[in-house]
Amino acid sequence: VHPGDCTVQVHSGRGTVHPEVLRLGLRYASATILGSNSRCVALLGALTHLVRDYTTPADKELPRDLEDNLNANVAYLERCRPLAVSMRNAVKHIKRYINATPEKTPDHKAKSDILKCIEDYLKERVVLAGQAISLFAANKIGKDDVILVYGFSSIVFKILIDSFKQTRFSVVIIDGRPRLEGRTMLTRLTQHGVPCTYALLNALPYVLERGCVRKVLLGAHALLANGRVMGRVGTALVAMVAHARGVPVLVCCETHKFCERVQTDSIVVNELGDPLELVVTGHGDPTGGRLATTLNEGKNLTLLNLSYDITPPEFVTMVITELGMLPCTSVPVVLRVKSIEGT
Amino acid sequence: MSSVTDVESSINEFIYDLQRQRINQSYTLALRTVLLLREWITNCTDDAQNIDDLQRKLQEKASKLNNASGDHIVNNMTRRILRIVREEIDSTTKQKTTEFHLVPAPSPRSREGDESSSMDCEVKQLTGSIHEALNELEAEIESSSVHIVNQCLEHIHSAEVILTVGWSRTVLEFLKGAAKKRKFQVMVIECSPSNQGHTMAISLSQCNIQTTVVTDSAVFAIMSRINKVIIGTRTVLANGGLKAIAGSRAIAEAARYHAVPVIVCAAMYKLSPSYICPIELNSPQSVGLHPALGPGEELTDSQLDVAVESPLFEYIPPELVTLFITNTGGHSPSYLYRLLSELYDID
Repeated sequence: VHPGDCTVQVHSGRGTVHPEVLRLGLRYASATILGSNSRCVALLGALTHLVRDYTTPADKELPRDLEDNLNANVAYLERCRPLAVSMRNAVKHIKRYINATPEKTPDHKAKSDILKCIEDYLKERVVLAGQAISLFAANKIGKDDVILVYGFSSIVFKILIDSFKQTRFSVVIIDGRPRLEGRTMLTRLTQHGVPCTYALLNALPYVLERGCVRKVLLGAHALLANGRVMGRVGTALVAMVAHARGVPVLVCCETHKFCERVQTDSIVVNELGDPLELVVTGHGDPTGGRLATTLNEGKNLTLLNLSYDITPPEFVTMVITELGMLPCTSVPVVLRVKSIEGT
Repeated sequence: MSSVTDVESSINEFIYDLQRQRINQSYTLALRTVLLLREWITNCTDDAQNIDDLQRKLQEKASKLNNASGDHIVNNMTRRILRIVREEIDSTTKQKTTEFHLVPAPSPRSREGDESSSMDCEVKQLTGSIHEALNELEAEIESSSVHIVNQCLEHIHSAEVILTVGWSRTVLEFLKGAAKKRKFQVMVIECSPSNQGHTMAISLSQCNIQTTVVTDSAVFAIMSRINKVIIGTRTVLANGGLKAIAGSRAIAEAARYHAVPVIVCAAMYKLSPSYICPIELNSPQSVGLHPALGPGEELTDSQLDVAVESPLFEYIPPELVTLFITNTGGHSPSYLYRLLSELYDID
């Protein structure tokens, strides 16, 4: 489904889509909810409603049928917007739990157990993990540091706000079109009194050299099993330019975003945003509106709006997770340990 | 023939425009400098007593123009003109001394008559030959783009994906020339906040080149698909480095990581004899500023203390450039210092 166009076929396959999930899908499609953590949290909220309102049909078993229902709802969300890695991992976790429900468990107990599982996942993997990462990262932020961040990341924002209560530092926010998420970061940080500098990506080498940036804090959408970081498009550029100048690059990522997929470049698997977001109107437009008209003529011109890119591990100094500071290449180790633990 | 006052007033107008940075295109800057100084030499130097006087006056005029403009192009052109004048002086004075020994029929005036009239006609003869030489310089500037475009087929293959950034007249002509014979694709980095890439993309697509506009943030992501990076530049420095539009440095570094060649199309009037220390280049005076936020976008009250950084240009070291394509041919960055000695004097 094209993000600008919110018509989706709702009834398909087995089971119907829960109204909360319906709303959620529309919010994803219209880019009202952005960011890996926010999308995951919103999904868990909707799934809580789904499980709570679920009743097993007479001739079916709860685990099987609930899983089918869940699949149908997730398929709908996938059509609204491709699932984030954090969302996929959450769904996989819940499905595994549902499958492991012992037989002959009464429905109400099974449901309350599943609801508890969802709640625990949210609490441990997202909220507490965020707090742990913030504590680890606070050790790395010194007095009068200049920290560079890119766009908006909920975990980086949390780290900065928590650390600012103990130490004074300043932040340089780099922003990229078309989403310009850095302005959200700018607004929120200045509301907490953090001194900020704002610049677009073209100013990055200039700012790094003149601004005496001490370290770079980046968020991530996912960490891939071959050590690469999948982040908002532009993250790889920031990491590369910083690395070339010897500035340490710290990626902050909860373990629920680790994923078994491997990728070598940013093009084979990526998400395309709405190309029309690139068209500028008004002051920033040197073409005087001709870009849109040339596009409409359909002659040789396309706009490319990528959503994510892959940062190679050599640019990343270390990854801060709730398990501690890890090198990028430790992702498969963590995944293996977690799968052995069965969580 | 323009009168003295006409020429003086056009020069003053030019200085006015330079001080207010009204002229942005390097080609216009170079051409206007040369034309104005040529007119000035031809018309306004009747009161020059001798050759030294002429040189002194010219140097004064040149430094006025240099001071008005923060750009290297005007400086380049004035230094080239000074070099040309010195060469002409050398060749006429040499001719004068050799006349007594070698040339069988010397011009009667140079031997007879009083000192002042012989000096007078010397200056006139000199200004005449300078005028000729400056005509050649003007022709060189006007044809520089043609010579660059003539090399396009040696560098662009069919089915290649070329990356370019922002707006460059030279690169546009280069790609248009290649598109007449080869079919390839171009990705244009839009280069916000000026978004010059949009204008470039429209011009390219109208020449039947398959064009894609890409945001600055996607440079690293798409670089693995790019075969060549072809960019223009504002100035080429004496060490082979570039002063190019902000955003080019990141592109050049990404290209180096992916082992993609970086080709710079620049005419010789952009080659500057100055070496600039990168720290100095990163100062606000040299980089210029562009509003990152347009007047229609307001910051809230709490954001009044926010510093916004927005350089126009940045320095690219010569190690990141693979090849320069100039009107005199293709050169590697390490060779440029030799070309300097042909164009400029040590001033």
